[in-house]
Amino acid sequence: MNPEDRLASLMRADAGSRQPGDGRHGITRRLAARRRARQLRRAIIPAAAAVVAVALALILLPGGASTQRVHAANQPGGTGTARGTRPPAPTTTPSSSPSPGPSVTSAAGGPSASSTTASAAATGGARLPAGYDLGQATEQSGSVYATGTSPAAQNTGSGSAVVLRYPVSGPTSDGATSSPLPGPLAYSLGSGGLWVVTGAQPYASSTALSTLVELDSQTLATRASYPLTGPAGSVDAAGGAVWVGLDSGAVERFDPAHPAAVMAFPSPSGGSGAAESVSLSPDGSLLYELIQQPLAVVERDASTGKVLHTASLATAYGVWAHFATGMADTVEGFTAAHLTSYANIGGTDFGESSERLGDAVVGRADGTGRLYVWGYQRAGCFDLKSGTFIAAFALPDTANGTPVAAGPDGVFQLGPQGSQRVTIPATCTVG
Amino acid sequence: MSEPSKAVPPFPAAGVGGPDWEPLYRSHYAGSVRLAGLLTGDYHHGEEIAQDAFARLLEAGARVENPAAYLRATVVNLSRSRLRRLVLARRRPDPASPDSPGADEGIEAAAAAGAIRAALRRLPTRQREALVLRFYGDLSLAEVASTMGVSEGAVKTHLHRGLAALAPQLEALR
Repeated sequence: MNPEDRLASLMRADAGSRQPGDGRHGITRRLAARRRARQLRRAIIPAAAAVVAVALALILLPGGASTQRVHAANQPGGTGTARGTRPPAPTTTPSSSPSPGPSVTSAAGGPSASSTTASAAATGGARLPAGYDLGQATEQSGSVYATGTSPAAQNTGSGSAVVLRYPVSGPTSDGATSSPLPGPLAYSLGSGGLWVVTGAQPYASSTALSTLVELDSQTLATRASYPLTGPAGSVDAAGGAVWVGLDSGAVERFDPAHPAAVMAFPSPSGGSGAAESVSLSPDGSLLYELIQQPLAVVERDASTGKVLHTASLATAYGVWAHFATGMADTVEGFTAAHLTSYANIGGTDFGESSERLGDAVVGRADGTGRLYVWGYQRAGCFDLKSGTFIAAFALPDTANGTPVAAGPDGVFQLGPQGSQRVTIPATCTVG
Repeated sequence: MSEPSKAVPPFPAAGVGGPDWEPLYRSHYAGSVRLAGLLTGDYHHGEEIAQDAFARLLEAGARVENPAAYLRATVVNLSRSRLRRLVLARRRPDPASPDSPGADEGIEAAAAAGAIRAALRRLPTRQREALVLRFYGDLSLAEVASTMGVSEGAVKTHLHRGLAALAPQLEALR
């Protein structure tokens, strides 16, 4: 027997002596974990922007100097050309005059101006379609918003999804459900509407063009839709503007009052990684992007698109957010203005060995002075200023992956009966 | 606090045009475990890697044109990553892995097979990958090159060097 055959025979004998157990459960569990991680990553920057901005106010520049600094820099300076004529949005209040603001970048062969207005009505009541999974929940203005995603959209990125609005209190029939849209979805509430990016799957290297859809934040009826220049995966709206993160790593800025004036800014790294998540500071003056390949957080001036700072996540692993790092996950806070790491709450034990940050997500902490992190069954609150762990508490619905939303009105969890308020320790509520 | 259910859940539904998961699992899971076990030298790692690879395949869904090839490449890449993390442990002399059929079992063939796995573990990663894919996976040179992401010439080099390095062990195990 020659050496090749001898080697093959030995390897087959060794491998053949091993009979693996049933791996279906492990596969399904890992798949669920990957989906959660994907959803969590999309939630990273919304949490980061709010927290970093608050941290900035609390720590670095008391008295709102940061806002003054940014506003002082809020001068025209972008580059670009108009790339199409889009009809003005029906309503909205421009925060500041966008023209003759930053000039507008033209995408090659820019879209031919198609927008659709009031094309689809939403259904009454918050009704999750059968088989759909809830995800990406946020509490704002007395409602808990969430996405509902079909299995096909989750598995292949080519299914449908809806946006749901649950009242903070009251029956789900008081809520609303949007018309089905090409899923998965990313969404943001602000700048006069609820803004949705369709086909949002920044990990899938998709090639289908995404669409920015404006929904009425109460009825979830479609107001208008705008074509984007490529596949996109993230959106945030604040301060009278809407920013969309494209899979190319570029970002685009829409002005709801002048939707034809679209500013486009290339990826700061020039790399191929997607702008996985974008988020504005609460006043809309700063834009944060989570960029892949190389993994980094980028801070931009939201008026000019100018890159102010970049922090590599290759060693930092996160921005006040759950960030998967293999078996050891962590949550880390960066200061605004310099993106310097100043706190890390990785490894915090919520009272059960299985409830460390590995299963956690970070919630918005607007106005509360607290950062909330949760797992399957328990959650904890942290001090925004120092990252100090304050208290842990139980979640009412311990079903895996049930979304939790932390907002100005408290902490809420979505369950079969709709939104339910989570009882949190008094120490968590003191901002 | 109730324990989460350990019942085996059904695989998620595939998207339109996506692969049929159950037959794929049945035909490729055990092989993936064994491939990863040979690549890492540890079948416990092999099970974790195979499950992770299947989860990634399920996630990718219908976008994958050749699920078997995708799975194989994922297993190789994950095994490589796992070894990278375990590099310090790998550098320690560890001829008897926990999975190795021990001499106590008194089965000469099994002992020889365990010994060859230990010998494989001591090879450079690329040489080991080339040998396992070519002689265990029975892949063509082109398929090995595609899976490893290298040229066929590089595969030939890795095979030649790997076989040369294993020659003393293969001779001793005759």
